[in-house]
Amino acid sequence: MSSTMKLLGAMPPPGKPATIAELARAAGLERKPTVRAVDTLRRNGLAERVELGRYKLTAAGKLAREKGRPIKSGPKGPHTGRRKPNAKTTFRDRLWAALRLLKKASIPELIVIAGAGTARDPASGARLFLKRLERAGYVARLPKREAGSAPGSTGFLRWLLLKDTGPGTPRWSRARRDLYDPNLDAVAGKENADAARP
Amino acid sequence: MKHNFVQTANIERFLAASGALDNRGAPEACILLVDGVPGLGKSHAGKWWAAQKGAVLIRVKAAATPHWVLNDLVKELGEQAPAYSCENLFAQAVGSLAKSPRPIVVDEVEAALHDMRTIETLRDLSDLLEVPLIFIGREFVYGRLQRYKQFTTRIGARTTFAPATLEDATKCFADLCECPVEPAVVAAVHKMSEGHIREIVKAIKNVERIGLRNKGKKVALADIAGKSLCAEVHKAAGHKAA
Repeated sequence: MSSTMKLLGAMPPPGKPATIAELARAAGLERKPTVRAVDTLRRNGLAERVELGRYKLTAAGKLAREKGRPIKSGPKGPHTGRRKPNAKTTFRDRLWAALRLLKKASIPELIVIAGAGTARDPASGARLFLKRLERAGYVARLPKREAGSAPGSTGFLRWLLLKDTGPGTPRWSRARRDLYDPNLDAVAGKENADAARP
Repeated sequence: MKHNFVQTANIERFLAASGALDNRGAPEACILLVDGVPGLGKSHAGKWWAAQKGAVLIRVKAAATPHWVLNDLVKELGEQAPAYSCENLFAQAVGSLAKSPRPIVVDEVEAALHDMRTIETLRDLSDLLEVPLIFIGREFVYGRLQRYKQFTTRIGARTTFAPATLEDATKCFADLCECPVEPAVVAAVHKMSEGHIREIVKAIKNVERIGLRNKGKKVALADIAGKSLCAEVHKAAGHKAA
């Protein structure tokens, strides 16, 4: 059981608001974990400081204790924030950079420049990304394919970049079924429910 | 073909030179010059490096002017509304690069030599922001730049691309070809290609086609006899069976 849950069980009421030392004794914890656990409960609105150095549960805290609701770390709401500017580069970021560099290329050419990195199936990933971009009007298929070497191969499709909006990678949202372009700060292409599958 | 970028001797020298630029003593000596005859993979190496490093790459057009180059640079940096005047374009480029410094790769730099203001504009940017500037161009670029001391003192590193060696060709086959080949085939392809990496890659594709048709058997000299592996017709393989 986590320190926070132990503390939730030991917090007053019943009894008068307690100090950190009293709470630590009651929950069987050291002082530092008790301080952190009180902070967690307060951040979640389950505990409050009644006067300097004395704490008790709120009504929500009492309800959480009665229902045995676990208190976990992790997101408290939907992910609606923008991607951090220094977020790690993904395979799709490198694909987009490669597409901007080459202007027109086949999937193998894009993968060579972008580097597969740790992508499990770079060719499939690239294919899906390009299909999304095609639907939004960012790329178009060139009529001539790159010759393949396998027997019976029809060759590799070649793609032409039509809309180079900037270095930010256009991102597909599975929930909204649209393509968000961070360079334009706008949605670029939306799919209806019937055309959902690539 | 396997989707790998082959690190030939030229690429290793290029990476060593770009590393040397990072450790340069004088902050303004931030130009890396990559030169060589056409067909040795300089532009391809520049694109790969730019993708790996998050650098911005611009290709100088034959009729380039400072305005054109700045306009291309600002668009590559992601500005949605490039400014009208040269002065404002320069300010936009400085603003964007100051916020997120990235190296600038300039391909086909020989096209800018007819109007030194174009190259001087790039030098002004690099002097101000101390971002690495990678010039990729033909074999005569260094000779022409030597007339201008303000450039030669700023070239922190230089690498010349040479024709691919037999070791490079062997590495290309190992990294790209999906079927085994005999060393004699590699030697034959290297001779046919005359060290042009583009021709070696084309030949690998053709050799691979032959190998896959033979159910992955090792490709021997006899299998490629009489076949044109490289692009030009006059380079048709005229090897007799061993």
